[in-house]
Amino acid sequence: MSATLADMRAGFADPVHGAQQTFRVLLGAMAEPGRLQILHDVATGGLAAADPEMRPPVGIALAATLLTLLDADTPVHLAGALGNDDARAWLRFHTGARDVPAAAGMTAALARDVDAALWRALDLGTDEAPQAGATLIVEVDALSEQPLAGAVALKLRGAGIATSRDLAVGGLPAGFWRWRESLQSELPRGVDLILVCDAQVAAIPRSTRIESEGENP
Amino acid sequence: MTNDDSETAQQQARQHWLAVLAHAPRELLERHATGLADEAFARLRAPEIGLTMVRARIGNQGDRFNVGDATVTRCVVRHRAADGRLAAGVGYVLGRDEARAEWIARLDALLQQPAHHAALMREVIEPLAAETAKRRAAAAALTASSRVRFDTLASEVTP
Repeated sequence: MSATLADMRAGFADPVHGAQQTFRVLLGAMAEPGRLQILHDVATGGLAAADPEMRPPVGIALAATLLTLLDADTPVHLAGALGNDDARAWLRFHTGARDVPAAAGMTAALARDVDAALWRALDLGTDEAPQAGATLIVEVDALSEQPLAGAVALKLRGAGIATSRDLAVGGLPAGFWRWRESLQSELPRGVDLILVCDAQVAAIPRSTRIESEGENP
Repeated sequence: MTNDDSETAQQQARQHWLAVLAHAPRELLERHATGLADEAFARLRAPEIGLTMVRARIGNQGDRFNVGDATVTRCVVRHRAADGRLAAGVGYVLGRDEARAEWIARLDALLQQPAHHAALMREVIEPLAAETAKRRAAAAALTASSRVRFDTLASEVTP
């Protein structure tokens, strides 16, 4: 741990209400897969500090999600560039959560670090204990309900969606979405996906079917 | 002096002033802490109240057992000195007094700043330490006056 306490970054300004508001937003995102949810300033207060030296070492929505979902009993894997000393020390200070090497439970990553090795290591759970399936939190480059240049356009169907819903996600490789589609026959085993970008959050739980996809030019 | 030695000495000095601050009476602490400039401080961990398990050993030997839960308030603040130097101060106090935990954290951060250290040690820590020592001595004297010496009884039965 190279980071000392004097270099520590801020967490929620109001930990109780910040975490509650963020949890409500995550709940809404999981209930309506593919719908973009915005984290309000009330929830993220403190994470967007005016002083750049107080800002958390990860993006706002990712910071809020991690601070809300993690505690000392919840191991997390910080993959790729996220797995730096600053981020580890910050998470440990504010939540007590430890960074574990293997993908047991929850994995957080930046979109550019998501590769086949990462997603193949994720635990899908078993038919008897599907709750052991991993949760993957990815900070993507772009997130929109409208088609977006350079982003993969997804058509989502399933529980929580009346007919179908469109979601454009930028930054994740096409192979990732093929892998995600290949999991659809495995239900109830699978991986729950939380996508964050700036202050936006969208979720694609394992019950959601991705019907078609295509890259916008 | 090796690096380790000076680190230990620093640690012991900090343990000393944190102990003094944690035992200081509220009104004295308030008088010393309210004059500090607000804008130099940022909260890393806002004051929060929690429980801690107090453990003990009978007569300081034997196995540890759990005495019970105690309420603890803690706070962490960061201070930026005029020269840009950063220091993080922590405050832990028994009870639910959030303001007290923050005052201690602020004073701890300032005490780690070389520019403020000497003055604060002289004007805050030493008087508070003297005050606490006086209170403890008074309590010890009061207790000592009712002390029963069992060793006199024991010596009568021995041949």
